[in-house]
Amino acid sequence: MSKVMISTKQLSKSYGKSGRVIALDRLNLDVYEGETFGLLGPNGAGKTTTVRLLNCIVKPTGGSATVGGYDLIEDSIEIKRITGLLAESPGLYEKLSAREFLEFMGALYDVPSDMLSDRADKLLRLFGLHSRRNHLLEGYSRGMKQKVLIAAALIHDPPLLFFDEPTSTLDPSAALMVKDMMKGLAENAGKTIVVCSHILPIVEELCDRIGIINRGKLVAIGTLDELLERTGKDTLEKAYIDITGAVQQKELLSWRELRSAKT
Amino acid sequence: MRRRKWLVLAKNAYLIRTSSFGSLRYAVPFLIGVPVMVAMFVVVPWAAGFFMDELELFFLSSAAVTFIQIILFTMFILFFTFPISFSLNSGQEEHYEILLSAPLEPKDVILGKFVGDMPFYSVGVIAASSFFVALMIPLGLGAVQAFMVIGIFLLTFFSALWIGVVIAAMIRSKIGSSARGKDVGKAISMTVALPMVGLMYAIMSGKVYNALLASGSRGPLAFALDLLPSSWGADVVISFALNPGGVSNMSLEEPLRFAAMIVFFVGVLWAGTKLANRAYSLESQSFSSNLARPEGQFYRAVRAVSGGGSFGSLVVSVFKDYGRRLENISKAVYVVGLVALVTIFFGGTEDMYGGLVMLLFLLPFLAGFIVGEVTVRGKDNLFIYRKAPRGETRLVRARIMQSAIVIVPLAVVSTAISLTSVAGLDTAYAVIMVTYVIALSLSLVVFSLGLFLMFPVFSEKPADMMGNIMVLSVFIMGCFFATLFLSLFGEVAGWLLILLLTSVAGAVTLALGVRNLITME
Repeated sequence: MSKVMISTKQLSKSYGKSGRVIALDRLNLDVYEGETFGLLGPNGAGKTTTVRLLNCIVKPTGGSATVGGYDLIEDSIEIKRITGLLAESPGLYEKLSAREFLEFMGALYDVPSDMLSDRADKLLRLFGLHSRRNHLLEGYSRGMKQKVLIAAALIHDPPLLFFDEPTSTLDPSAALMVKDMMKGLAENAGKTIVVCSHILPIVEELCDRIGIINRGKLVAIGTLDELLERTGKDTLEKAYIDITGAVQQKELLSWRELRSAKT
Repeated sequence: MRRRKWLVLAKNAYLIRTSSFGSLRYAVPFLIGVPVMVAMFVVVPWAAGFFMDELELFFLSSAAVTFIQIILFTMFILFFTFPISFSLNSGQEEHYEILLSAPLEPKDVILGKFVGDMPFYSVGVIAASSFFVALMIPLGLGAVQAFMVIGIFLLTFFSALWIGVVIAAMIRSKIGSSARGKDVGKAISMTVALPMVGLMYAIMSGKVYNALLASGSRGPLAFALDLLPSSWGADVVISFALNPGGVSNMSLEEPLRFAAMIVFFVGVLWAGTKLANRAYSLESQSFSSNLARPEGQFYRAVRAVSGGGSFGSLVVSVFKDYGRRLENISKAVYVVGLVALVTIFFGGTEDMYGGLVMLLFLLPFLAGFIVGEVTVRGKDNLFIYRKAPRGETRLVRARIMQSAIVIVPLAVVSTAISLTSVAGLDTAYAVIMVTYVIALSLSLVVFSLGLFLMFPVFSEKPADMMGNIMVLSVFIMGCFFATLFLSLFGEVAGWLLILLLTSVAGAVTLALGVRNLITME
């Protein structure tokens, strides 16, 4: 049995006065070392909150957790050192070039300067941005910015990586490259990866196990086969819809017929 | 029947502006306008009745023409500049795809916004003009005359505003499509205000007024002012004050001048819509990117001053992001420019305290403008630091270091400028003063950083930053008045007290600000 990399016990997060808005409701989850774990869920289900909690960006309002054996509350600095995060809505210094931004991120994570320059160049080459490394980020397209941010998440070579919607703004070839890179990081570099994504084929292909979160609660967890077996469906998409609540088939053009009836 | 697009957009602009009034939104101009009218026709005339003799004396004097002329001229220039400055600062408006995809012409967009905003501006202009009308009512001003005076103010205002709006739109479409252009625009938006401030100071100091009075109606300054519609209106207002009454009291010249103002407004409106269609582009930004220059001596020095290593890299990164935004440089130039203007128009004191008092009131703005950058890129940008180990502390240290490197030379330059107006300055005093201003600037940096972390401003608009800057200013004013109250003004103890209070308040707010940064979600 692999070592547990992430372990949450009744981990909760609520917002507002007297905690009226529950973003995450008593999450119990174990993610193992070297595993690629997929977190699925509708918009506003609590995926980003989970990622932010596990990266010590926000504090939990209940429960406990350990990341890499470190306590979420007591050892937040150590947790930040061993994790890399590609956030869903990340900040970026637009007036820095891609290379300067990676150097800045490396400095934040205390990457030795002799190693930093070389690593930044290698990552920029990997993402096909080396020829534009000295251009200010303000002139980059969304996809290019996303690549820089993925490189920034890798700059300190952390053992645990969180990717929140890593391919949502990428073109198909870049998305494929990111997907292959995640696969390589998991298989060859032994990284533990948590991926939040709406792109189900990526999750289906990459993830060893999948958790589905809905309205702040973890409603299903298991391998792809286990989820399919549990729901009796033949694809992850159908299983996902079954678990999170199927969309009601309504008369999608009823509005038009109504208008026609009036006119 | 096809609807006029600019009218649709005008309604939209109106609804956006009044969204907080809910179902009362259509009544807003009346809700504000009625009290203004009551004040105009009842309250102020009643109060002005007590100063009848002085009023008559004033309106009969030659100073009255000059005074009204200056008021309307200032209004014309101010509202001509305002949209240009505002528009350049906000950069290229993000035109929604919904607008781009609709069958619209550029003129519809700017005319629609202009017309939609008109009711609000009208209320403000009527309120301002009502002051003059109310003062003239006790003289016997007739109803037609009263409405014509209000009309003069409205025509002056809207002519100036429309010219400004069109010029702003044209400049924006020329330079606002690239990131560099936006930067340049933002930088100009601050500095374009400096000549206007200079003009205001010249008026406030009485220099323009005296020059006009001295040169009379045939001087070059008077001739230049006569070319503007504001002066045509000023002549009508004074003419009404001298011959108040009904329509029969009017000479032909007054309605003619008023009609000329209407023709001028309609003319600029027509020309503006034509120009807008030719020069204003609805297209959003172009794709061009700028290269980052290799690190020169300056950044190497910054890195060295910051102690090198990771922290040095952080400070350099923060500095690059700050320094490459031209508007940051223009903000600093603006404050130093203000120091120069105040020194030129109000300087010339025997002692050095006048200059020091001026700096006391301007330094909070300088510190606020420099430090306020810390949160304007939004929470997501702060989360970069939140994610990093001890990132919050590093952010605060890097920002203090970067701000100190910026503010110290500016403080020295500002002090040097303010000292130029001091007669017979002692070198030792000058050195002490420069040292004091540097120390005060650094405490203000810490203080404002604490404030901006306690009350983050997640917007690049200078107006949003003003809240924290006003807190700083009020605090400094409080300290200043405390020294007056304690009879310490001009004493060494008084100046040290201000420095001490600022430092202590700075330390406290910084501690609270860091706590807020750590817990911010």
